[in-house]
Amino acid sequence: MLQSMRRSIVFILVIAGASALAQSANKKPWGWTDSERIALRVAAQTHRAGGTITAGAPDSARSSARAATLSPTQAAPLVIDGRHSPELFMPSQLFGILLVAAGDADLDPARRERLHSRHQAALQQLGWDQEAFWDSLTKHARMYNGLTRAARRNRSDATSIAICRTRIEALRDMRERYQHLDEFLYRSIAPDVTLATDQKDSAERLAWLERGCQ
Amino acid sequence: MRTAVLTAAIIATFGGAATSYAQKAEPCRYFTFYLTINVSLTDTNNGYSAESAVTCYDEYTNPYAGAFTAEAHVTDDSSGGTVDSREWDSTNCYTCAVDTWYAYMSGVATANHCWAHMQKDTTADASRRSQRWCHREGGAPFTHF
Repeated sequence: MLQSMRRSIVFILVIAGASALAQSANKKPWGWTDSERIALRVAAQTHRAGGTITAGAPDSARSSARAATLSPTQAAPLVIDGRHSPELFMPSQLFGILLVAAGDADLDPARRERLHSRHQAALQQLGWDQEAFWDSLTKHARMYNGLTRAARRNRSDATSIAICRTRIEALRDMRERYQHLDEFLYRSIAPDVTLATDQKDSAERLAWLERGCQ
Repeated sequence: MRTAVLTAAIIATFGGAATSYAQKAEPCRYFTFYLTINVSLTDTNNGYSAESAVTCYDEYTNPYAGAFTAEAHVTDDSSGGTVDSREWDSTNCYTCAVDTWYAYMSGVATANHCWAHMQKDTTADASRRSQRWCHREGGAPFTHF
């Protein structure tokens, strides 16, 4: 019974995702709602051949040899190519990537210069004060990266949830300050990024992460 | 005319099964790959620069200093040789594990060549090719797919 219900839910999500996919040609990557994005991603996970999440053939003997050493579950991760399917990224994932980059750039002037230069055109196009933007972001990044580093590896669930929540609170604050923050994330951050994972995320899990792990 | 293509590639793996002992970092649940390549061809500066970053995340999508291997390459496809490369392996080094591994490579760029970057993940057996940077005699570098 429970299994049947689960199948029905997955089916509904696949249909919703397929429907969302059909509309994707007319929609900007930053225009999706979280629930639309989640449906699309779950559908793409289910039908990997759909083109939004892809697995290609081994590129070389070397990669084949390495892949052969991995367990079956690790040999079938999902890959999101931000240049082709930016809409599959959840906003908090892109924002997390930006926070890490800004935090590391804060410690290295050369890296900071490259990061700022990379996104200069997009920020200009959005009409934002670049210095103010990076200042606000860096403050959040210091807190976020500080928490992450202090937590080290053997972190408790409570600590992990606190870090997750900090990321979402920072995202909310930046969205309030910068109305088109999501446009920046999907236009300027996503195209340079590929995400790979060895686990399929359920719709519930993705929504939970997006709420700050609560 | 033979066209040379400089390729920057980045590779990472999930780092093996979850460990049962403390002195080995846990594997990553998510990776993000970031890779850019820029080409400058001016009177005073002929060069390429490639920046790669691999970040490891736990199941909360928090950055995590886990076990993973990564490689970044810049290769000249015409000669088949690696121009520059960097490697990272934290699967057997608990103390040196980091959440983000960076590689920055730069070198001389030659006129009338095209450059591109490619991202690979051996675990996924997936790869992608980026836009290409090309140059023609007397003009500025331009990009196309």
